[in-house]
Order: sequence, then structure tokens, then C-alpha cells
Amino acid sequence: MGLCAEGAEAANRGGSWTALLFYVINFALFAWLLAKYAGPMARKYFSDRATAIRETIARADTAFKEAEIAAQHAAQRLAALEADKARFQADFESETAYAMNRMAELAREAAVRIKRDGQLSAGALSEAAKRRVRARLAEAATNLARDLIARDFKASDQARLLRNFESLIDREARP
Amino acid sequence: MRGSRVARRYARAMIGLSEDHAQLEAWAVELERLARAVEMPEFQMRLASPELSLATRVEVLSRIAERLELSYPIRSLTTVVARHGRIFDLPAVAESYRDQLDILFGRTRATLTFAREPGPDDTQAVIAGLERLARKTIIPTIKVDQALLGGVVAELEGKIYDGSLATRLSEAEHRLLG
Repeated sequence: MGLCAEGAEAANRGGSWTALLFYVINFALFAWLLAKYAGPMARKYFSDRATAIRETIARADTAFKEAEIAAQHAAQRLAALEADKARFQADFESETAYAMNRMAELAREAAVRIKRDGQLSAGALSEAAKRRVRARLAEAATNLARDLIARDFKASDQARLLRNFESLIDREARP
Repeated sequence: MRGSRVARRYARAMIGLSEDHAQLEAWAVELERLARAVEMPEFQMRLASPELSLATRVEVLSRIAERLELSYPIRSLTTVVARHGRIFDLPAVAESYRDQLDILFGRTRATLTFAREPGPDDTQAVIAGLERLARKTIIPTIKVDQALLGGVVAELEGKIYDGSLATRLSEAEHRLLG
């Protein structure tokens, strides 16, 4: 400290070789002290720091690689998922199309069957109605004919029927 | 079936007793009368009683034969049939006798059902036609059924020859029904 103060005084008095020497010695002393006491600590600090930084870098590299691998896996999974999605979508669309076609086909068949049943039912009802009308007409005609025969049947009619019967028997008798 | 076989045997035996057609015809009439008597419900009820002995049954049947003034061969047949416990087969015997006699004489029976009471000419014309058809002499049974409306129906040897208006009307009704 004393040298420093002397050096400072010398400096204040103007430049000289002594002052320069003083400054050099002063600096060298300072450097020696610094290297003697602070150097190891600084070296150790920087060494530790370098080690820590290297470890950090190594961990970061490892983490980066792992992240890259994970990203690759994720990308692969995503691609697989995309493929699955595409396949599922295609399957679903195919199944939907089949189901819709099948439903449409069933609906068409049902419509045809309903139409046919309707036609049959209508035909059957119509036929039944015709049969009933025919039956009533036939019954009425038969009753009318029976009444007319009972009222107007004459001996000549009976004779004619007997002649017809004889003709029938004669036809049967022919070989 | 057993009864009819027995009846056929009795009938065949009776037919074998004579070659005189008139005699055989007379026996057929007598057998018919006897069969009708046996078929009477009152007679059947009394003779079916288990209290009557065989001798009593034979005696009863002999008396009936006498009261019907049947000829000796028929009375003998009656006695034989009664002794063999075949009293109730007598109608079958009479029927079988008649059938065998018809075959023997080349004739057959027909039932003619007219809608109205037929005149002799009508009946004769129908019978003549049936005789040409059957190539046998026809013994007719005449009936009247007004339900036929008109015409005639003949039943000959198991076949029906229908010339009635009722059937024609029924056929026309079926045709109308489609």
C-alpha cells in the first residue's frame, strides 16, 4: 500500500522511469499475489464451471438425442395413427356404403313385397267379391229357374226330357 | 261278410232245388215276404230275447211261415235256417237268392226315379233303353221324387244315369260360379 502511495505521488509529479518501474513492480506484485491466491480458485472455478458446462452440454445432447428419438417415435406413432385412421376411415366408409346399399336393397325389396302383397290382397278381395256376386247371381238365377219350372212345367216338357234321357242311354249303349 | 257267405250258400241251395223258372220266381216272392216279416222290429225284438229257447224260435218261425202260406220248400228252408240260429240272416238269404236268380235269368234291377208319375209308355221306353244298355232284362223299381223338377234318374248296376232338371240346374249354377 505504501508503494502504491509512493507510486501515486510519483505519478502526480510527472512521468519517470522510477514511476514506470514502480508501476511494473506494483503490477507484477499484484499479478503474483493474484496468481498466488486467486489463481487456483479461479482455475478451480473455471474448471468446475467448464466441467459443469460440459456435463450440461452432454446432458443437453443426451436429452436432445432422446428428444429426437422420442420425436421420431412420436412421428412414427403419428404416421401409424394416420395410417390407422386412414384405414379405419376407409373401413368405416366401406362399411357405411355397404350398410347403406344393404338398407337400400332391403327397402327396395320391402317396397316390392309390400306392393306385391297389396296387389295380391287387392286381387284376392276383388276375386272374392266377384265370387260372391257370381254366387248370388247364380243362386238367384237358379231359384228363378226353379220357380219358372215349377210354375210352367208341362207334360210335354217331361216327355222331351225323357226322350233326351233315352238318347243319353242310347249313346251310352253304343260300343 | 260271414253272414253274406252263409246267405249265398242257402240261396244257392234253394236255386239248386228246381229248374222250373216259375217255381224259382214264386220262391223269390215268398222269400221276400218272409224277409219283410223277419225285418219287422217287433218280431226282431221278441226273437232276440235270450229267454227264448232254440226250439221255441223254430216253432215261432214255422208258425209265421204257415201264416204267410209259404210253400213247403220255403218252410223247410225256414226251419233249417232257424235251427242253425240264422233267423236274422233270412233277409240276406232273400236278397242273395234274388241276385242269383237275376244272374241265372240274365236280368238286372234298376231304380227309376221320375219327377212326375210316369205313364206306361214313358216307363217302358226308359226300361227299353236301359235293357239295350245292360243287354239284360230290367226289373224296374219305380219311384217319384218331385225334387228332381223334371226328367228321370236311373240307377243301374251301381251307376247313376241322371236326366233330371234338378241336376242340370245344379250344373248350370256351378258353371255360373265358374
